[in-house]
Amino acid sequence: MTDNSLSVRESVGTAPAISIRGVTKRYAGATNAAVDSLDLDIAQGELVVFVGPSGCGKTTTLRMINRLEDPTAGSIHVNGTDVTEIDPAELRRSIGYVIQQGGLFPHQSVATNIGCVPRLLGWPKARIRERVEELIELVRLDPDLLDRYPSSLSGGQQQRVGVARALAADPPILLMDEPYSAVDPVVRAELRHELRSLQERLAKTIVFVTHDIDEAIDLGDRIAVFKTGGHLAQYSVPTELLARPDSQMVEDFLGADRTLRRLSLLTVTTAQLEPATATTPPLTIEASFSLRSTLDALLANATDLATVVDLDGSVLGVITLDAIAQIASGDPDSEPVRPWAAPRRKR
Amino acid sequence: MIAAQGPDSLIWWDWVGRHGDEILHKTLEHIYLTAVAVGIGLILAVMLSVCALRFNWTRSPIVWTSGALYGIPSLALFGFLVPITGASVLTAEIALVSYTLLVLVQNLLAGIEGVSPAVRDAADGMGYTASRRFISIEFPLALPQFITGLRIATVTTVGLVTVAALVGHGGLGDFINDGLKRNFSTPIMVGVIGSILLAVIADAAFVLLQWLTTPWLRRARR
Repeated sequence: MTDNSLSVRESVGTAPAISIRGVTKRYAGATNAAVDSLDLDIAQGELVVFVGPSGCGKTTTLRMINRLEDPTAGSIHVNGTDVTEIDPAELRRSIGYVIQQGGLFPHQSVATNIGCVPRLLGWPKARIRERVEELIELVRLDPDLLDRYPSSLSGGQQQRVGVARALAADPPILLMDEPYSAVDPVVRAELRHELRSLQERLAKTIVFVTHDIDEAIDLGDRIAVFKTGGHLAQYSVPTELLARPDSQMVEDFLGADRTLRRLSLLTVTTAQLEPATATTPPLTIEASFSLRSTLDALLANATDLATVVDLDGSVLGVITLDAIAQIASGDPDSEPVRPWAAPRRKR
Repeated sequence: MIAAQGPDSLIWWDWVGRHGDEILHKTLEHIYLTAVAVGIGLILAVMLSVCALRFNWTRSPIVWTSGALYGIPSLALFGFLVPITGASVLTAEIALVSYTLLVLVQNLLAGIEGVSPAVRDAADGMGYTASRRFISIEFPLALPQFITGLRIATVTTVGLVTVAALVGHGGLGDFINDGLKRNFSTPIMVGVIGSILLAVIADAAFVLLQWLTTPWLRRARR
């Protein structure tokens, strides 16, 4: 099945999962290129977000990875294989694909939708059914929904079905094209959270396109900021992007409060803690708090000192406003942290 | 007997009673002529639509030709065909099929082209080949619209069959033709009412078919 000799599953050592080299895409009749001489590597197991204003080529770039578009020039390798050497349908069955509202097939039940790639791959019926049940659990949906049609599901549920369908044949790579743009902000945050924890468990390589910089910062292990004309403006981990935007365009795109945003990605323990003394400050902060929440607590209590404690209550040290200011003004190499997730995998 | 039903009566029921077998026979012929015409029209329309979708340059000629056929007055078409194919079933069917094509082709094309781009994009992204995408995604989604086309084509054909009485194969239309010639209202009424009943039954049958083939449109939205 997917163990075909040309399948993208054949990973080559620790080579990048996706390697884009000198890729240009020019649509017939258009004067400007949609994507212009793009070079980009995406490491195995990373969640990379393509972000930028509309018309910056981020979606086109994503669509060239599974050959929904073919480049005008340059090459794209997926796990070491040039994608143009793989039959497009074959290639796409081995790469998960999620779009807005999941792009579900309205005439098929949720179960049939989820099982579509395994069906294309010719899996036996019993195995498909088993896999579908496994997936519905994975994306935290009620198994009662399996026999329903997509139109009777909420936006968030449809989106979860879309993810389950993309994961059905256990592809190593997942492409997500503005998947959450049609769901409300609360559900959106929830879906992002779930995607994070899903990725922690499954270690997929994910490419995620959005026009929302907050979503990019919230989700990305690494963020590729595109600018109009299909150029890559900057490609960095979120904390570095926020600390050192390397052009005016990126700085404007990040918005005015980028320092605070960076602090929200760092835990209180990344700051230099003062040793605890006999008289510890009355305000206590849990070690999992972000620096931003810590700052908020300090300001709200009109103090410049707080005691940092770990989960079982033992004192780790004292955090000061000065220490936060020091982080805010520099040190972009601090380890990013997501308060909800288990400790990140080491790369 | 004549006292019971005056000569001015629109329908002489005893005439209807005496011609029961013939009415049944002509009704079956009517259904047969309609079914063959719509059946052949359906096959041709699917082939023509696939061709129009696959090779875009054929789209305009196909739609234009089926539109032109639809535009020919039926009397003129029969008059044109009789010298070639005679007063035969073939003549009747050629004319009837020509009139179904426009409605069927246009509804099928509109149905397929009305499939949301997101759904088509998702199908491509999942790894559907073009033919598989057509069979398991686009065609089922175009079904409601296509069946609407079938409904219109069938109801129209039921009416048009009566005109084929001119070439001697008009089903219930033969009664109308006969009645007009003899200036006798009873067979005219039998032909007209019978053909209207057939049209109504066919229409209802397609509504049922549409309901049966589109379960996803049935459930109430939340």
